[in-house]
Amino acid sequence: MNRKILFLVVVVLTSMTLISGCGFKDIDKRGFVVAVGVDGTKNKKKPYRLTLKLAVPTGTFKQSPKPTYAYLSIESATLAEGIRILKTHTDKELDFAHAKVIVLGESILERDMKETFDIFLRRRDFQGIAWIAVGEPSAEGILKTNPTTDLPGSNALFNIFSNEGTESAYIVTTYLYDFSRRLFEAGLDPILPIIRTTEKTNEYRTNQAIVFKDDKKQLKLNTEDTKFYNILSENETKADIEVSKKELLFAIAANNIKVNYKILTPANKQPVLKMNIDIQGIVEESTERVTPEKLKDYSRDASEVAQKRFTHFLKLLQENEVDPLGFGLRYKATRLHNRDTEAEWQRIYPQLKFDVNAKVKVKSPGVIE
Amino acid sequence: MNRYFYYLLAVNMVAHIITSVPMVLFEARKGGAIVSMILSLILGTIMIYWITKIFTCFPGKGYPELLKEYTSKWISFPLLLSTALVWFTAGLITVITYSALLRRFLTPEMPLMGIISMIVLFVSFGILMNSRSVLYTVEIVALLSIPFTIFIFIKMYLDKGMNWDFVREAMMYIGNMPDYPSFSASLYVILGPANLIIFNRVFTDKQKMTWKQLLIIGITGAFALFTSYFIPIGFQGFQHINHLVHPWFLTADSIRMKFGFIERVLFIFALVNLAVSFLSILVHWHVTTELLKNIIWFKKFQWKGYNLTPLVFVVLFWIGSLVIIPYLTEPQLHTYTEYALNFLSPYVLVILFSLLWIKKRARA
Amino acid sequence: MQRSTKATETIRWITKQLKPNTDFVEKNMKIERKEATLLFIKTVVDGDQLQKLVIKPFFEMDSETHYEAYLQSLPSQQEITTKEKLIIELTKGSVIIVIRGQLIMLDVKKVNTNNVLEAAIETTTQGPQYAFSEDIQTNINLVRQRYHEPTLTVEIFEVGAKSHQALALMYDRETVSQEVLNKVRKNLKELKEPIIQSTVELKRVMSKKKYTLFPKMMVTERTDRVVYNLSGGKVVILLDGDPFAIIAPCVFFDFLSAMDDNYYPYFVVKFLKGIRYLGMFFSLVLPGLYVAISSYNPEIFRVQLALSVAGSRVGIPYPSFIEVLFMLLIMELLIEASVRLPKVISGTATTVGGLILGTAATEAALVSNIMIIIVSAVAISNFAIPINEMNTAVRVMKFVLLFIATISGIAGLTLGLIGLVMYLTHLNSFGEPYLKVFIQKKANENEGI
Repeated sequence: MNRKILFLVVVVLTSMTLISGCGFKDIDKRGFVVAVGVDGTKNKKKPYRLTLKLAVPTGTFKQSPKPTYAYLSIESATLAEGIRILKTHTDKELDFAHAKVIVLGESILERDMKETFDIFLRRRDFQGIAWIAVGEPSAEGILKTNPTTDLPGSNALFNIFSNEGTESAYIVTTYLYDFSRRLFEAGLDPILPIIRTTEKTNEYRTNQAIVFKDDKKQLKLNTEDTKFYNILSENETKADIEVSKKELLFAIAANNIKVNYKILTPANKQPVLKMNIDIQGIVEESTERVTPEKLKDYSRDASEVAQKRFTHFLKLLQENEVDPLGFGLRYKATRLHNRDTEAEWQRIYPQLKFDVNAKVKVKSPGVIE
Repeated sequence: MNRYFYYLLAVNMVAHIITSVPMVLFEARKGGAIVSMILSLILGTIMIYWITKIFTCFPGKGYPELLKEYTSKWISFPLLLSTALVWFTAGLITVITYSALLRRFLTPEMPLMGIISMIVLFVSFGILMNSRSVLYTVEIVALLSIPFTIFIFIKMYLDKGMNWDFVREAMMYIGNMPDYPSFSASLYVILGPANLIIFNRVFTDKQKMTWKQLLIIGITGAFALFTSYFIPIGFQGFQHINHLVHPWFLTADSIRMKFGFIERVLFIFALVNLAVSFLSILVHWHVTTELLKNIIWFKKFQWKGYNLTPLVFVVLFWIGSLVIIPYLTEPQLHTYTEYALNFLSPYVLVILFSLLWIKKRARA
Repeated sequence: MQRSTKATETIRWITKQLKPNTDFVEKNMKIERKEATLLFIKTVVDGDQLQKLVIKPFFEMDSETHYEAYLQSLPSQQEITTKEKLIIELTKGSVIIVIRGQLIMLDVKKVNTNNVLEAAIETTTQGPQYAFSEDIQTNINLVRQRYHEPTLTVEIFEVGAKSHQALALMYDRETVSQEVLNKVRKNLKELKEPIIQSTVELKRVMSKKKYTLFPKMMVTERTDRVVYNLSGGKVVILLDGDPFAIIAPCVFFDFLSAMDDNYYPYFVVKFLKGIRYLGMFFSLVLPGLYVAISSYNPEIFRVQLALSVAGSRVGIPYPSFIEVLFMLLIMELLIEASVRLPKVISGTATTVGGLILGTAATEAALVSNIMIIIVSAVAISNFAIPINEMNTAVRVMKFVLLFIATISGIAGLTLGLIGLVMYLTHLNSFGEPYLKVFIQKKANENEGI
């Protein structure tokens, strides 16, 4: 009996070591890629420059108060080939399951995005909730920047997008799945945030965005326009509005923004996009004393300003024939499908008139009058 | 009806989303997917109502017993055999799809054979249990996993990434004529109670089937179908969704939990679905074994007082899955499941008609 | 005089059987015209009682007839069936009185084990503090004192081909399930064991199957639990010489209920129960989960967590499952050692084992910090299971799940858990399904299925 049990234990242990050969790989033998950067090169044979940022696991926090990263870079014909070769550059098994940020260098934006991006959609281990961004001047430069506020166990790049760290109306967040659907669907154009860094500063600046249309057309949104995009897409319900009127200069912190719009196509008339924007906020800064009676004036002034700026932003999009807010999609979504729906929209968008009705309501002067 | 009836219903409603059912619907998204869904919902509910109603007239009796009692052997034998085959295929579809999914998302390095044997090993134990224990298992696992599923569904509905404009765009195709594959596929979603053909054996008390219960079936069925069709569209877009091989898994990978040990909902979804799919396989193959027991029974095939005939069936299941699955490529797998789905759901009509006939004879 | 010759014959036989014992006493009492013989074993009878009940009245009574009538009226008189039975009773502490050619047997047992003990294993903070004694009479008395229902029935059996212990089967006639009762009776009658020393052993031999893991009958020392279960229609078995009772049939959920659950407010109880189930789940799953996640699917964790797990494993020379197995075995040894050690030393053992070994092992980079946390979480949460036998079953079961997780990762672990559920629903305890959810009211629950 005892011998039987002994035999069983031996069998179990050996089978454990034998069977665990397949797929069993300890966590410390894996190299976790936390960010992937793709740049373009001038070399025709090897058009891609792939950069991987690996987190090097360190013991306790006490032993290493700064996170340590390793970088791998290579130029290759395809990204898949690059990954294969990079595997020989390291002792660890590359694990892309934690690659939460994919940065595209400026130099690659002119190429066919669908082609460049294919591997990230096709491979199983890139997560659908990875963040995509454009890096200026290059993806490699972004990856190799380590801000001083970076702590072990938290990556500064993640904190920018995750809403766990900083939250700002100037940061556009685009997930991988969102990017892919915008890339392939008509009537909703891809938009990516731009991360900038300089040699000297050693920090990230993420307050611009770029909109794509087809392969060639692009529109860079400046800081202010990026904010308008965030407000109108309802990604951000907190923003600020600066108003200057003669001597008076005040800023409103909006904390509740609601946007809805309709596309009206009355027969024989110019098509109209009717947009209602409801903003509630409080005064954050002002050059004069804000008495309760003045709140109404403030609301009116702010409304006027907002209306003007939003209309201007929408016209900017229209002139450049880009559609990151999904007007085309809304058009298709509100009309019973027929064969010409797509073509109709192509015709309508350039001559669309924007009827923006922004209503700002200032609720309080803040803590002081 | 007994609460176990609803578990059978729920298992199919959740388990179908990993099979090819949503993909069949997405193929027909620019055609008559929506109308087919509505039609199948109505017809399916009526069919289920009818079947259940007939079974309530014969408490404690399964389909094989009824066939034996009221028909001749020449009719019951082919009917039982074909039913067993249909149910086996239904189970096999889930085994195939889930093992492919496991290989893609959870255990990419493990050989396919290993994955299949792992699933089938546990299922083999389950299908040999008595029907009562199967129902208890179904209840416990369902009670543990379905709340998670509903949590994930709700999280998806409320997520910012869910773009309702895509859903509306899909809705704009409501005017098209229904087509057969999507009708048959969406019928599969609410056909869970068809498992009563065996499990009615343990419902020994007189059950009631009222319009209230019919309403529950209809509403949950509508919710399940609506969810499985529109959520992926809301996340992945409308025009190109048929390019995705695992639309539901990619959709689950599109939402994130900001706080918690696990950030990617995909893994919770995969594990919960593993549990529910397992139940689906368990239920279908248990029914198959019980049906086969009524056709083939070796009286002399005994060892220490146990009859070993069910083991023969289990061996057949093993051979079936281990031979068929590695042989297929993924696109083939999808095509064949589509054929199977085209055939499976209407087969319930055959059962329904035979039951109606039995009822008529019973009354006479 | 037929009667008397038979009696003398019996006595001669008994004397012959017991003569080699030096503590066997055969005493003749004679005064005037009265005469009687006493047979007993000195070491097991209560001398005071014997003197008071038997010897003294003999000299005070007027005649043999009076004395006989007196003896017949005593409550401790026992029925005489066979010769063999007589001897067994003598060894248990009875006295045989031969008077007028007739045998009368009286129970004058000396019991040294009838003091009621304090509950030591299943303690409650607020609730009855005393448990059973080691004497069956006292124990039956304890139960009867708490359950004044005329339908309470006590059947006395005898078990052990050599030890001839008394065994009491108690149940409430009204609520008990006849099917279960018959099964238990049949089971008890079929026992062939020569000696049954303890209730736990009785439980083991009753279950018959050789390879078992999960308990199907509950062994308890709490009188309130026994009474609670009696009223719920269960069968209770008491064995002489053991301060534990067996409750049958018992299903899975019974083993996770503590008696406190009946005493505390509703939400407190729900919370405590939740904690207990969570504890069981953790102690089953955590070791396997650690291996599965750290070696198969590190992508499941959020990135920060994955990196800190990876960081804590830096420098550990062997794969995760050996690490887990090693630490778990140390922990099991520690538990086993502290059970066996005298209470005075066991505190030291845990300190040495737990604190010093744990710290030293991490310092030496033999195991990771996170591993130590997991192992101690497993140990602690395991003790949240109130019934000792379920506790040990879970301790063994976690190794099975660890094994499955080692060969097939997180998917295997999930399937393993489902397999466990299937196994449990497959079991039954005297015909009752072992694992089944009770949602509806009891009457509806039994409807149909």
